[in-house]
Amino acid sequence: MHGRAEGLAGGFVTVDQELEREFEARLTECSTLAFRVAYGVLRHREDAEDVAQEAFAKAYRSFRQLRDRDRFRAWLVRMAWRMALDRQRSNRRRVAREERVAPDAASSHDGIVEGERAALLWQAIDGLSEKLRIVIVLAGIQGHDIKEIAALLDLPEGTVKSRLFLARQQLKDALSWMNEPR
Amino acid sequence: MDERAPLSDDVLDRELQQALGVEPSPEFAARVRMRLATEAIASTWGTRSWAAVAAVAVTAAAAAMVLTIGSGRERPATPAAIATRTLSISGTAAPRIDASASPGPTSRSERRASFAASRADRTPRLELPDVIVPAGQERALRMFAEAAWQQRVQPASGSSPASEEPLEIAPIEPAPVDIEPLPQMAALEGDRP
Repeated sequence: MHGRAEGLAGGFVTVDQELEREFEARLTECSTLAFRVAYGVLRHREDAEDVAQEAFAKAYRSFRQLRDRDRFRAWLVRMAWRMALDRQRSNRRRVAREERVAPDAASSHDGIVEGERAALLWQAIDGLSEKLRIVIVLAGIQGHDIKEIAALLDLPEGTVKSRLFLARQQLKDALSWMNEPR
Repeated sequence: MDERAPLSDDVLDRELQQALGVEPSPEFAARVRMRLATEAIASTWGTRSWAAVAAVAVTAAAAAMVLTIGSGRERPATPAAIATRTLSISGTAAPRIDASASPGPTSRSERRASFAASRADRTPRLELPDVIVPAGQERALRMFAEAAWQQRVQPASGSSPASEEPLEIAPIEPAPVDIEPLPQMAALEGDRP
């Protein structure tokens, strides 16, 4: 009898342990998302990792209010985006250096061309307004559709659709030379 | 004139996914977990320090409350205070207080204070040492003192002058009792052989 009671007690977990497990699951699920959102602004791997890490630390502090999966993802995306913008504003020099040196630029001719294409693409993305930029970045990350972007940004789907259309139009105009054969 | 065709959606999506399809470094997750572990320890220490601060604050508040209540209580009179206090006994009958006559003091202590003040103006004061009596007997003792002062009662009347002499108890001497035999019983005894 006593052994059975001990066995039952051993099966229980405290609230904190349950929260830790849930947060670990969210971390595994959303770490790449947070990193890519930050990278979409900063285009610097270490900076983006720092920002994503800080966003997770903030989420950890208030995880009791963010236990819902969708709410957590939306909160994390918006937090990572804002923190990345703050980092970008305070670290303009580093971003400029990153633009000059493409991340995976190789020494070959193809690599140089790829780096230039990426730099010009980012330049076009940076030319978008902030509202359009986050929509197009989220659309380019993990293939988010309009409904998912609307949920992440807490916006109506119609608003996301129109913003996505405008962003695409501006990018197409700016990057029309990419249609030419390489 | 620019004859280039606009970029197709497929090409744009491919370019965007290629630009944003960057993976974090392999140690990124480990760094985040380490950061969170530090955060957890810090929050635990923060909680403990807040608990300690709260405990100290509660203790200080309790001590302050005890001191406040202790100082608010009426302190027992010192011997010196007893010696200097006076007891006022009126020479006239105690006036009755008519609560409906005027909107005077309402509380009992106020009525008592106004009564004592009005009586002090028209009564001779007798300087007597203070007597410590229980609170419940104060009024009775005061009434008795006033009645004695007015000679309505004799403080010694409760005991007669003879009571001071030793009481002699006379022995009881009962009268002798003669019991006469019943006549029927005597007749019955005469019939026996």
